[in-house]
Amino acid sequence: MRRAVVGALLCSATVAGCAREAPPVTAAQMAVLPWDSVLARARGSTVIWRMWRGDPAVNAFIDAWVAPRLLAQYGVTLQAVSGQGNELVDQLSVEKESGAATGAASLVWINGETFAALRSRQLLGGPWSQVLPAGAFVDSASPIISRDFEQDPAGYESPWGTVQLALIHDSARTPQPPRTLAELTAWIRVHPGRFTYDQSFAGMTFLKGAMYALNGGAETFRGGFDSTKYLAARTRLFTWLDSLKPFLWRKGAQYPVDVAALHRLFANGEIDFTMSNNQNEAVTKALQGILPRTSRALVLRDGTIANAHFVGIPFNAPNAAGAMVVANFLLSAEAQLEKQRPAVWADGTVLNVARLPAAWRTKFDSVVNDPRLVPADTLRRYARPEVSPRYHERLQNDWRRMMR
Amino acid sequence: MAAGRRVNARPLRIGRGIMLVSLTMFAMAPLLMLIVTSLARGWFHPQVLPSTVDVSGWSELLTDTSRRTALLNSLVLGVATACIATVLALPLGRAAALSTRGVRRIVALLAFAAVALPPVALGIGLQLTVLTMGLGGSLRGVLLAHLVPALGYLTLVFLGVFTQWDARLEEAAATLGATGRERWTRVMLPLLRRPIADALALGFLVSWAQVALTLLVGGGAVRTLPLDVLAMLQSGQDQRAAVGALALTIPALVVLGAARVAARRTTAVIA
Amino acid sequence: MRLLHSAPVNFIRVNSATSRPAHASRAVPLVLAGTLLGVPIAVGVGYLVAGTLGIVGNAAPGGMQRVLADGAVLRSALLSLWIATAGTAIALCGALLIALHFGDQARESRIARRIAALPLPVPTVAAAVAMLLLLSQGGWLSRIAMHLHLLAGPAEFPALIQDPWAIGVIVAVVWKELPFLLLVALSLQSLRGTALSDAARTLGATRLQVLRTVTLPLLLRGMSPSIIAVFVFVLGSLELPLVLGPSAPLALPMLIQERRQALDMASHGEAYVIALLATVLALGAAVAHEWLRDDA
Repeated sequence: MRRAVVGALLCSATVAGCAREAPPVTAAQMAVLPWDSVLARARGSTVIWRMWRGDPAVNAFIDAWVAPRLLAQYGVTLQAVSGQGNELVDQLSVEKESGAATGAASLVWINGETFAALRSRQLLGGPWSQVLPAGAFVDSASPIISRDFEQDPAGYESPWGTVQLALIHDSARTPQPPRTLAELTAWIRVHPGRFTYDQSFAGMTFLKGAMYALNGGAETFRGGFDSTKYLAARTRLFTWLDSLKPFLWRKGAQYPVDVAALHRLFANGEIDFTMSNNQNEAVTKALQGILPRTSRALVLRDGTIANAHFVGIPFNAPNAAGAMVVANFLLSAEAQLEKQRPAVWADGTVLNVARLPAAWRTKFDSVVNDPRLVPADTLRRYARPEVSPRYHERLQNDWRRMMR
Repeated sequence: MAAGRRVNARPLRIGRGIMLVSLTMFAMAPLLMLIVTSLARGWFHPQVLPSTVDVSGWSELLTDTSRRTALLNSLVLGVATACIATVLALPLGRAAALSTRGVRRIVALLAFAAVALPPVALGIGLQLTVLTMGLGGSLRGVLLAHLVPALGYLTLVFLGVFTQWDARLEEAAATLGATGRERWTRVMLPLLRRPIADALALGFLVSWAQVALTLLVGGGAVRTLPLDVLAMLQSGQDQRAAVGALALTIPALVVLGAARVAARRTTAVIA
Repeated sequence: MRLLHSAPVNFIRVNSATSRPAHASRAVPLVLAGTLLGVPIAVGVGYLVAGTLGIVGNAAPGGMQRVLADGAVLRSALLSLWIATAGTAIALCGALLIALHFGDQARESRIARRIAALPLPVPTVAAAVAMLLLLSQGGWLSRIAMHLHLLAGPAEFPALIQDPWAIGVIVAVVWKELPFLLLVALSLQSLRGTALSDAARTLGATRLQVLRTVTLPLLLRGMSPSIIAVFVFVLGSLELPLVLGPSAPLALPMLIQERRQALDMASHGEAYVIALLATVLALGAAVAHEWLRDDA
């Protein structure tokens, strides 16, 4: 019935409508073939990769470094287009609703709640990622890489980078910044109007970290979503936020829309802290002229959330073979190393560097030990894993409804 | 009497002077803001002016593949929208203008509705339609979406033009022995040069400035200059956003200027 | 960029009915308009209705009741109506002021008109970027004021961006829409001439009386379709509130986008309902626009 009504609506509306093409070969079908025949099928094809296109540094890495190498080494033309998070879910849902056999994109950049939403709506193809040859060097012992917000990727996505939340302060303006959540709370009260968080991903991750800290740590929330635990934790978090509200920027009546807006407030002296999901942004964004050169990253001792990001292949991908070749190339040591350079992107590797040949190990070490970055052991000590994406979803919804 | 007038004239002139100055500042300040930001890298509060001039944002407009693609997409969409919408709206406007009052009302109502629908709302339906046609995320799909408001605007333009049109000119030409073809080439088209120039400019600008429809129907796969500007802003790249905003503004001013020049020439011909 | 040069056309009463050929067709324009304009509109609105009823999308039943009872939707609608009303009204006042002061042929008047019309073709998103950089508390105006020792810090500059009254959005609306309304007012003035006001002056009316009882009412009546066009355009605009508007409440187009991209299915379905409400508002305005045009 539903299909019929939709069909009628569309046929009446479109001249060319209602044509159905044959469905393409899916990622799961491709995954049973030997890798050589995946490579053979991919040669000469084009992969449209729907990804976040907001950072020119990332864009340059993809367009000017990854794409030419893919073309030269595998004959795959990579075309990056814009789309992330909820937009992706919306776009793929609509593609499914429309009933068209093939979608536009063959690869998507996802993690966490986006992965959960895509999986639950059956919008991802797979399993496929277990067959990638370069996957052998992935640091599968790390809980941050082998799990995506506690979810088993189950072959439906392949990791390609890791990041960790950090606060950013200006060492010229705030030479002695707070180091724990309690110190930060006290600091905010003494400096009214000089702190806030954004209402998109980084801000919510910051709040989730505060929720861990106020409720006995990340361990409390391990093992799937628990509504009772969540409600108790939410009460504590929101009580804390309520007590801070009068001391926040605009007295907590308005929040910057995204982390870029937060950076802008920080760079122009309207507030004294910004934050980022990537601990190295204090360096990379200063190189780009977005943050002052005296910006420094700061990891709260209570722990900050670290997570990995992945690539997935949509259920209706027109070119699953090409997408797999791209995912495999992203895991190669050369791509992982290039991506981690502060001048390029400073995105953490997902490889277990210790298992790489010695020549590569030295190269990775020299990048990681860049003095401008937060030391690797500090990061590791305070890294906290993500918990079930339901926590993120609920927190975001409830925050919008009750705190905004 | 004369003395009184002189007394009145002075404060009036000062008042006009003040108004002119504040009007100029109000109209120009945002454009000046964009120009300065487009040349500033790492320019923060409280600096009133950037310490150095940096043109990398401008050179990048043509060297960066992603920005260049956005610029090209916008140009292609703008020109195609302008031409197609003009070709379709002209006969529609003419046919409606020559018809009854009731028909004119219905056509005008539909045309204005196409313009007035919130792009976010219209885009939801168009997105599904374009996907079903197999044009999801393609330039052609976005073109179809841009054509909807453009056709609305241009239909209103040509409806207005032909409602004022003096059909007696055509009849006179026919009476004087002009063939159908001659009537168009010798009478109609010269008279229509101004409205057509206006329509092309308007059609181009409707597409050139479009954000919501491109976003929804293009699904991120079709990057245009306005979307690029928004993306830059949303990643804190104010310099690049300002360069993009000026790259949007300058052609828009040129197109409008060109339409006016065409209009002036036409007026001279008729006069 | 609405109606640009078509503006004057909206209000010109034409007396050329006699010159129209008697054989004019009704079917041709209706079929053309139906195909080119009616179909896309029907598809757009049709999907929203279908989405509201749960035929497409995944809307839970009772979406309409939930949306109507949702305080956030009401606040968003009120914010959008406030932005559109205040923005249009201020732009109109500015346009009238300039048209009345600089409507003559003096040299400075011509310069003033040209300068005032400058923002006309500037794409909205460019205007939004400029206003953000100009009006933020750490923006250019604030820096200049601080340089002149008028302020001690960014916090002392009034909150114009992301403020609950959406002042930054309204300033951008005025900047963008004033030129359009000005052009309409100027062409009306030049069409109407001065005969009526001259007559009123001859009959002993003061300058102010003429303005109040003759010039302004005539101008406003002629401008009313264009005023509605501006109002509707602002109501549906996504870019301005996206870049400059408050995060609470969100303007209506922003709320539609947020609900549509929400991960839970109920919110996703409600986007159709809110979009339908926004569409009904706009279509109502379209009918009013047509009603007020007196040339048809």
